[in-house]
Amino acid sequence: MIGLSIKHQIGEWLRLATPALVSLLLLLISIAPWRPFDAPLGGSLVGASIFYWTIYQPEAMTPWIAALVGLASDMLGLSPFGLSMLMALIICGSAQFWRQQLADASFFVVWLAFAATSLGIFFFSWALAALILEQWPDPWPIALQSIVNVSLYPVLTLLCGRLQRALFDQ
Amino acid sequence: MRQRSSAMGATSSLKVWFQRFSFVLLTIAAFGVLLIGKADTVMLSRLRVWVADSVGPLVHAVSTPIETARDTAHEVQSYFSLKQQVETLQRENQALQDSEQQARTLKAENESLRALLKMAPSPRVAFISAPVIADASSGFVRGVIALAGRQNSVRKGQAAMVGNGMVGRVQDVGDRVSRVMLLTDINSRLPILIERTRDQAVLAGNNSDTPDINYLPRDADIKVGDHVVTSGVGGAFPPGLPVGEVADIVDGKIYVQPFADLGRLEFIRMVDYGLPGVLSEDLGVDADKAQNVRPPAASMQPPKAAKPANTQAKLKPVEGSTE
Repeated sequence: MIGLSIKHQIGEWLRLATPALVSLLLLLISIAPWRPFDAPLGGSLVGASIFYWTIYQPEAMTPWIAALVGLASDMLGLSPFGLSMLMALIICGSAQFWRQQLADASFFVVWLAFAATSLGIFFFSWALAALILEQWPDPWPIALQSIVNVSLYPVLTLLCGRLQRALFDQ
Repeated sequence: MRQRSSAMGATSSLKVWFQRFSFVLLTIAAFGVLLIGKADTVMLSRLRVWVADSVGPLVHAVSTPIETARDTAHEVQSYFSLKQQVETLQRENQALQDSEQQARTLKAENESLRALLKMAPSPRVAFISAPVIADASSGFVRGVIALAGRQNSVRKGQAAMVGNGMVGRVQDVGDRVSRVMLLTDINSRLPILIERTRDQAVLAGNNSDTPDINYLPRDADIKVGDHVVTSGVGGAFPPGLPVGEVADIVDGKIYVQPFADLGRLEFIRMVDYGLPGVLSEDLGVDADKAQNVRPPAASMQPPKAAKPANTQAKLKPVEGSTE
C-alpha cells in the first residue's frame, strides 16, 4: 500500500516536472551545433515552451520554475547573465496575465498573443542588453531569433499538446 | 495547542504571501543577478565554465543525434552532386600540387637563408582539435563550446581556428570543455591588418555575421574583397593569420566576412603560439598563473598534452611550426 502510494507520488512529481524538463531539453536542442535557419536558435525555443505551459498547465510552470529555466539558459552563456531569467519571468507573467482569456481561445489567438509578447521581449531585451553591454547591439539577430521563435510556436504547440494530453488530461 | 495553530497560520499566510509576491520577488532577484553578472565577471566566468563542464556530456549526448541527422542530410545532398564535386576536387588537387611544389621550394630557400643569417627558429605551436558540441550563440552573444579542456592542454587566450581562417579565441576553460568567443561576438576585438594596404585596425564583433573594422586610418583606401589578417599587435596572436575579406562598405563602415563559416562549425583547432599577449591582463586570470601555464617563449616548447581518453580520443595535440 505504502509502496503504491510512493510510486503514485513519484509519478505525480514526474508529471509536474515534465514541462520544466521539456523546457530544459529544448534549451539543449537549441544549442546543438546545427542551424536550420540563418539565426542561432540560442534558447529561443524555451520562451515558447514557458508561454505554452504557463497557459495550459500553470501549476507545472510557476514563476519559480520559469526563472530557474531562464537561469539555466544564462548559465550556458546564451545572454548577459540574468537577462534570460528576466525574459523568462516576463513571458511567464504575460501568459499568466492573459491566461483566463487565452486558455479557451483558438490557437491563432494564442499564437498572436505569443507574437505580441515576443515583440515586447525583443524591444525590452534589446534596450536592456544595450544598457548592460554599454553599446547598441545589432537588433537584426535578436529580431531574427524572435521571428524564428514565433514561427516555431505551432510545431511546439503540436508536440507539447500531445504530451499534455498524454500526461495531464486523464 | 493554540501556539501550534498560530504557528501553522503564520506559515500558511507566509506561503500565500510568498506565492502572491513570488513574481515580484523573482523579478527583483533577476535584476540582482543582472547586477552581479555585470559586477563580478570572474565569479561569473568560473560559474559558467563549471556549468559547461558539468553538462558537457549531456549536451554532447543531445547534439549527437542532431549532428547525425545533419550529416545524413549533407551526405544525401552531396550524393546528387558527385560529378561536380569530383571535377572541383580534381581542379583543387592540381592547384594544391602546384602550391606544394612552390612551398617545398620556398621552404628550402627559407631554411638556407635562415642558416645564412643564423636566425633563431620560429616558435613551435601546438594544435588541439576538438568537436564543437554546442552553439552557444544568440542575439546577444556569439560563442561555441568545444569538447576539449584543461585535460587536453587547452588554455585561455589560445586562438581558435578552422582550416581556412580564424574563428575566435578561447574565453573560458573547464576540465573537459572550453568556451570559445567568436570573432562576431560583441565583446570580441581583434587587431588586424588589411593585407593589400598594410593598414592596421581593430576588428570589432557586433553580434551579426559580419564584424566591422574600427580605428582605421582616415586615408585608408579599402576595397571590397581586400583580405584581412591578424596584425600581431598586442601579442595575443602572431601576425598573418587569415581572418576574412571585406564584404561591404556602407556609410564609411567596413564590414568583414570571416573566411570560416562561423554558423556551421563542426571541429575547431585550438592553437597555442606560446605568446602571453593580453592574457596576463585579462579579467579572471591571475597574471602569475597565466605565465605559469604558458611555455616560456625562450624555450619554444609546446605545452605537454594530456592523454586523450574515450570520446576525446580524437583530441590529439599536434606539434607544428609557424614556418
